[in-house]
Amino acid sequence: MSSVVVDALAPHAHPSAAGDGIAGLRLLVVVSLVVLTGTALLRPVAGAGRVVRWAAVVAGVVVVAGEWALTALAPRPQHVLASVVPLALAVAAVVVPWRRFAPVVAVGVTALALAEFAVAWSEAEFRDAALRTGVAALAWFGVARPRRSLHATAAVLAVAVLAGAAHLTAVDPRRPVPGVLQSREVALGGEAVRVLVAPQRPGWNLVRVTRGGIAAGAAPERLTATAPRPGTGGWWALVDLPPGRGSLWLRRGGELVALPVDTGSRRGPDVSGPDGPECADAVLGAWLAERVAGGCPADQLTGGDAEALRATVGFLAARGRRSVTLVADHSPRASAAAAVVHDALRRNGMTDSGGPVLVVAGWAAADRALRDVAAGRLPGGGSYLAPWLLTAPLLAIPAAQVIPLRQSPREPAALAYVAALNDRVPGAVATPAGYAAWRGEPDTGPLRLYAASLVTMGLGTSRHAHGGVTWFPGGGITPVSDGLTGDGVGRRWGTSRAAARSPLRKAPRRP
Amino acid sequence: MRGYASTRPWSTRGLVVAGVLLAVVGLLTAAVPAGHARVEVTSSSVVGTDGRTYRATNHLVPLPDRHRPREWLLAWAGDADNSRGTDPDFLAVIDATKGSPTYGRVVNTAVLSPQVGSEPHHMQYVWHAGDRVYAGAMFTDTTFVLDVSRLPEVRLTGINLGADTPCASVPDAYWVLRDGTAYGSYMGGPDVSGPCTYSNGETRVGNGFAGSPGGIVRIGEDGRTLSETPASTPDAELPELCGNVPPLPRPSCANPHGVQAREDLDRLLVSDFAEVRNYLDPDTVQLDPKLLRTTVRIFDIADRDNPKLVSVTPLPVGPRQDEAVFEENQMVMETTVTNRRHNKGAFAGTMAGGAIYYTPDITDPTPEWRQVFDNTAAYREFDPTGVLSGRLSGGSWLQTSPDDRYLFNAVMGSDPRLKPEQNSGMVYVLDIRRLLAAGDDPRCRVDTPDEVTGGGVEADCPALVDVLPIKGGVGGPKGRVAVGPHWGAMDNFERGRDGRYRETGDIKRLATANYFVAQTGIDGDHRVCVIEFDGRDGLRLDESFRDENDQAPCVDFERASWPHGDHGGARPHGVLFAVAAKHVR
Repeated sequence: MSSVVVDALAPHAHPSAAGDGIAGLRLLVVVSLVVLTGTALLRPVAGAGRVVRWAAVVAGVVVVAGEWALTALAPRPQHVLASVVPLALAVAAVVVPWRRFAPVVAVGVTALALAEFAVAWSEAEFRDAALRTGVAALAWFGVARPRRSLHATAAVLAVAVLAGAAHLTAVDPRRPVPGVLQSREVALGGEAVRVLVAPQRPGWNLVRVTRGGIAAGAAPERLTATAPRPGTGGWWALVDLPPGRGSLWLRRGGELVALPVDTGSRRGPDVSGPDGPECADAVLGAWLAERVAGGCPADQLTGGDAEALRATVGFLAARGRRSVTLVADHSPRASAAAAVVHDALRRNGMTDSGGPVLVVAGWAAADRALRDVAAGRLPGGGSYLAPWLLTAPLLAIPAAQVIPLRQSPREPAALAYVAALNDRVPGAVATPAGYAAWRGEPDTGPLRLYAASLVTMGLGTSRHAHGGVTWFPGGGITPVSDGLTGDGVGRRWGTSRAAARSPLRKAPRRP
Repeated sequence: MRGYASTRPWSTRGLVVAGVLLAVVGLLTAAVPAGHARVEVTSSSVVGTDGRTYRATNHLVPLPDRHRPREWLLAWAGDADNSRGTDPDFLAVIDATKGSPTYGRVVNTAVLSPQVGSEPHHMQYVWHAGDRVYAGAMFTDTTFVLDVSRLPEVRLTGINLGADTPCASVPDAYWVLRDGTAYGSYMGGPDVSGPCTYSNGETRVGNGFAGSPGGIVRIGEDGRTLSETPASTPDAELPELCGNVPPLPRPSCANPHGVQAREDLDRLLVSDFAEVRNYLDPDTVQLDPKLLRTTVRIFDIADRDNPKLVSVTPLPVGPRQDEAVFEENQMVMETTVTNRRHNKGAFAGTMAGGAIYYTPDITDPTPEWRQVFDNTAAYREFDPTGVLSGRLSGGSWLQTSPDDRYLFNAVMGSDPRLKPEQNSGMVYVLDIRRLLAAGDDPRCRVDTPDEVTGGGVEADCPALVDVLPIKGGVGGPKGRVAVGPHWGAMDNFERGRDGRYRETGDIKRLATANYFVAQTGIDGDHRVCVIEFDGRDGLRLDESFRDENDQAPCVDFERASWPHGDHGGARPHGVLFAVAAKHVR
């Protein structure tokens, strides 16, 4: 249901469209809220004519529905009953002929709101439900015959609802959840900027923004310039955040904005190292699936990845290569991977002394190596990537990448991940780290080698390319091998398959 | 003041409450408008060499007079607003029977699954009775082979996957031979970097998928690879012109895009476009002219399974004196052969250069190519301001008429230096009779600035017959910058007195598609149009070929609903006229 509203407000999923829609909706809700509470507060001195009653009830409906819509735009889904029940109660105030019972209903609905508010101490979702139910109660007070005994109740309720709903509406419906990654859009320098704070835990956090020239920090006087990180998209800054509620400050040019953050109390995974962005993406993937991330991917080599590396070496051996150029770094995963590769090289009678580049490093070192391959500084016949390097920024470097995978990124499961990513964090890059965390289990299926490359480049009238939901916009990730066995042997490599053809029909069919 | 007592009955009020709640829930959960209520679904499948089953699923809209002979326009389309990533690519079958009550209606969408996001690209240039349709998908390195003998129903008869062409990648276009097999031009290099041994036993060292050198693949009607041939020479090619990233030990410009053949002359022509995965110098990140191509290749195909490369000829620079990447000869997108037995020439058109070249004899082992037209001269017909010019104009589909009288050229109008409001696409027609009549010694040569804007002054130069501006809606669907047509097709059929169709060399209609490749930034408004042509009256948009939804001229692929469901907008690339077997002689 929420996606319908999101689509309605942002039909093209462009950040500015969503921002404008939210701003307009907030304004409408605030105005309606003032009308509603004002009606309730002024009942002792105002008449109860048809216009007043209708104004009160319509305002109540607008506030309930608007609050629901604003909440739907937040990353946390809301239960439908938290909106539908208050909305039904508000609508009923005008269409159900219980005018003489309206005071009773109003008091009853107020009691329901109080009950929900009591539950809200432990379950935050009920807080919004309580406020909306309070608005519905006000609508009933608005249509009730003026009675002195109701004035105090209505006035107290009106003030409480006004304060709560105004805070909910005007401050921001997308409040940070303590200790949970935050992704949201802010207006900065006249542009919509998507900001990711990961893991939003006490200590070092990575902040990624979608525009350049932005500095970020925990205090206005301690801002760090964001900068691209090799092998990733966007601009990044490492920010030390204190426990609990606070603000992340962002400056672009002369404009300074504060983004509310709430880091909670528990420390998160360490994103301060060179593999921090990959770790942040794992947190992001888990967040998309509403689960808690495990450790950082670079902390260890999985069995599946080790098998893929062994198969890749076997493939190169079957292709007649006698050596490779291994590119690793100092992460635990890369060290373990290097050991696996060296062992496989030994088994295949090969060495690490030149030839095709086999990259088992993290994203940053991989980016450098691939650029060296593209420029001819690392010659030897293309590049073979570890499975965790299947990211668009790395594949877009023209370095003849080949990568072992168990599933095509065009399979439904992978596309569902990319779609979820696009929905919640527009512009984010699909990554194996995020996919694995989103999926919650390793890929299955036979290992195949895939060639990956851009197939098109920007040429023309617009830099505004629309690629839809795809792992690698503008590129192809295509299987080029049959299933690999552990030693990589699966077929004759580097030879056209046409040799095994059957005879052609020789008779010309067309004059 | 009125009392509170209601005058409406309880049942009415209850209905109102229920109605309001249902309306709210309905509005929040409503689906987009439903597609066709009744479609007939049929499917066919083949098993690929990867062991998977690939399927073409027809969604046939009921027609009131289903058995009446009809002509069809096929449009090979990919999804455009893939919000979930799962919307399929499909071949749309459009009623192209002039005068039919369903003229312009999409009567079938043949969904090709399970691939998605494959970037449907070209089919063959002309469909002849009995031919299969060869439809290429760039991003998935796949060629689909389709039986269209029972149109509007389509059947999948073969599939050629990326791993079936290990020495070549990224299929572009096809030329179908008389025996029903086809040559495909594959722009990209071998799947895996390093040496690759082709079916003729030759070996080339390539720099990988979507790199160089590309190849020529002969594909059977069952989709199998019959031969893979290197498009490059064994030795380094034109080192001063040809660059590769990563560098190749023997540089090559072989990235074939356009492909046409003259079987009677045993010649196959391909035009080199660019090393498609990258046009930028890896260090400077600037456009590198050595990664854009200026060459045309001619093969001897006496042995159909072993084309032999006869010549690699760079097109000459013209008189405009542009930056290197915008010179007339840059990015040779298309080549088209002449057709009549006594003509041996061929044309080539450039995308970045926006110019047309000609060589009088493709059997000459050292052909001379000369510029014979500049798109600037066509623009002058409707742009007196002079803002529009050939440079970066996006010259695309280029096709001689079967009778060798005319040359059709579609131009996208994609100069990124101009505002979208200024750009315009077009289709124009040249009369090439005098040029061809000049035989082996034509005089025409565009070599002065005046000839750039006014056409060649020599008597045998092509004469501009007419120009039809085609300018997609600026700001188009979802903010896209619309451009004119990239691709087109001739209607090579005419209806006989018996109601059946037969092939003709007298072209009266063209079809165009306003889409290139979205990721290049050249998208378009996704309309397929029909253009009427007459040698005396010129070109005229067929306004009776209308979209069934908005009733505007041209079929709009930006629609919510298709016969296969509510899958939203689509991008039509290749188009082709065809007729069912029982309705063609």
